[in-house]
Amino acid sequence: MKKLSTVFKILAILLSDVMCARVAYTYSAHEWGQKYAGWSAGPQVAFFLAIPYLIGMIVCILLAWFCKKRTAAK
Amino acid sequence: MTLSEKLYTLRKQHTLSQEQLAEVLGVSRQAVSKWETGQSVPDTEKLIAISEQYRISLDDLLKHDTLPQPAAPQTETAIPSEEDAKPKPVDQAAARIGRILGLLFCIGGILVLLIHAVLFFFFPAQYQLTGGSSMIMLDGNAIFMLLGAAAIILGAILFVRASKP
Repeated sequence: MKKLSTVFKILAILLSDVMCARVAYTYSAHEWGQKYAGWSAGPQVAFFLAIPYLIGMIVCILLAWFCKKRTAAK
Repeated sequence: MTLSEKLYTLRKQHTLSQEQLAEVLGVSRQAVSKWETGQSVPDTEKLIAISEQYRISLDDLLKHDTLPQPAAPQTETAIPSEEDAKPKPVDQAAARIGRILGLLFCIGGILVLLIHAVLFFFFPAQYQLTGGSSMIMLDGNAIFMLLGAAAIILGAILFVRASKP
């Protein structure tokens, strides 16, 4: 259970890094698109991409906490 | 009555198979069989575990010639004993399967999100979520990502439910 807790913490960090990279890339692409390509949607739509990653991060953090609690209880 | 006969009789009284008793005591089925045929004798630790499992004293198990009469069936108002509260082998196997399934769903969902992100960086045009009008589209890519998130939630629920005592 302790190892699982560590694994979930690492996965949460990995998801956060990937989320930041993806949102940043899409934000800058949309910013360019709005400025030069006449796109109607602003760069803020990039933050919608964060939703599934945020769900994954929260679940990973909760599972890491749960596994740590179970280890302490044993 | 010898020890081997007592062990056999007690197991039959409690309607346990040799495999079930072996699993509860943490020994092999062959070990239980040898105890019951008199080829070997359980060690002290296992004797204590057997006496706790069958709720008889070590004196009854080792010294006396006969076994005590089995206890009367419990009424509905009887307080369950500590032995009844111990998880049965079938429950433990189901919990283990639940934990493994939960982990598989969770890690599978996370892998879906990570792989989708990696593919996006290599093929941005194919994996972006906005169409030609720069509006967010709920197409296959978005559904794929949401399914990944749903798999993570489902896996977490399965894992937590299976891990609870």
